[in-house]
Amino acid sequence: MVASPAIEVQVKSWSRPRVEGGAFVYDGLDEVQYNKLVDGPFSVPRYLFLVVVPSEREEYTRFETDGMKLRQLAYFTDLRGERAVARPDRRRQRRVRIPVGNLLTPRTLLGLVGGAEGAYDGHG
Amino acid sequence: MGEPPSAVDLAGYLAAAGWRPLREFRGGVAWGREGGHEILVPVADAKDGARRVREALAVLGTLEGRPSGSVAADVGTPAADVQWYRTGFDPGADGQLGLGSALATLEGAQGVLAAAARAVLGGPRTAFEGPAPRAVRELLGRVRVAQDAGRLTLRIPLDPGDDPLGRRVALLLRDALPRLADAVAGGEAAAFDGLVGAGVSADLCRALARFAGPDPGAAFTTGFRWARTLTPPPSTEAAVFGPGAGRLLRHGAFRLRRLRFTGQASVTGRVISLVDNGGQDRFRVHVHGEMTEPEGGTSRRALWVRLHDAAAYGLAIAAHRDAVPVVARGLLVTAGGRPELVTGPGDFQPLPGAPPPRTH
Repeated sequence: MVASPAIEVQVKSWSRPRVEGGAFVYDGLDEVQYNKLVDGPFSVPRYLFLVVVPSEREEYTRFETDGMKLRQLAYFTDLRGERAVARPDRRRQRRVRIPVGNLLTPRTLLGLVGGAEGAYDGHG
Repeated sequence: MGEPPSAVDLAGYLAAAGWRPLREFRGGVAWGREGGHEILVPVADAKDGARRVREALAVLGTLEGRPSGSVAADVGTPAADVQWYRTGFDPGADGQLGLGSALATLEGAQGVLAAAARAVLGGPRTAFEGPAPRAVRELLGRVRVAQDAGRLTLRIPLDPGDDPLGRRVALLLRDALPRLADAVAGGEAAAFDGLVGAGVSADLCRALARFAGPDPGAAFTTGFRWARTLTPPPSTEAAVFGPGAGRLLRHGAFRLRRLRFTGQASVTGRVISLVDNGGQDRFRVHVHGEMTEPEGGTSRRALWVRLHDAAAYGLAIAAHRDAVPVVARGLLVTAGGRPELVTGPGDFQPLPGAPPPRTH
């Protein structure tokens, strides 16, 4: 097992994406889940991966002549610097914005992992 | 597992176990060892520090072949030597030991430590008698025990200083137990005699036999891990006692206990009874007092003394009548299953300085 570099992710799926001002407006995190992403500092950085999926489960995959397609796309965001909720409640949701440009690809994933070796600043 | 150990203790454990720091990572350090394994030791104030430590313990548990909770206990107690046993007792389908087996291992472990501690404090003996010294009882009182099916772990905390009793006890056992295991493998209890100087005693053998269970007995193994607050001694292989070891250990314990009552000895005390039937059993007196044993130790006991002749017996009669203390010297033997001091001419006398018995 290799210990570093490393990242940790919380993965959420979303079948009814809503975009405003160039960002996905996501209300699917409760406050406890939100704090797990922001209440650092963390020795291993944490990210939210949002996977946009079709509303019908049968549409998640499509088999075509040149291969299997997984639908649709995933996006990432780093919530470092956000303030944690003082008394988190699972019954309350916390809104986060994920830039539409933060498309998760092999290259951007490698960038996240490679960038994890940045200096630990005590703030996540 | 309760609260996981600290990152500092984890780093200390890794260093002592042969891991090397590889690189820094976000304030923490990635440690590695051969095989490509890595462990991240987090920086102290990281909010995910406990999670990282638990991950590390899981990796260590897998690599070391033991539960992560056991690893955590070692990591969290840097100032304790560890003696471990792997027994042959079969856990049930529920993975738990029967009460009898569990008690046997605990009593055996306590007996082994007590015998070794007595040898450290008072010198090697073939057998010990009477209650253990206070220092031994205090040491045993500080030992911590973890037991799961088939495995017993004893954590021996070390007092501050360069030469704590707990370390001395562990070192004695580290050296003596492999030699004893070799003697057991050789199949001859007589070989135990030569190990008394190394701290092997009847008490140690008897306690160790508990781990084998009832005859024919199962194999068992014991070894050590060392505290990190003292320089660890050179590592040695674990001591492996094969099937049937229990029987030979019990035989050896019996033999060593009898050896205690062989050789030159003396007793100083009062004559409490006398026997002379004019036939086969002549001139035998029972003296209660302090016995000096062949190995040099002393004990208070009542000892039968075989007097040389009628004259000595007459002295004994007078001493008994007048309650005059006596001293007897001679060769200690086993007669009729009991120790007996055989005296020669002049070896039985009133104690110097005591008023002489009235003779008629």
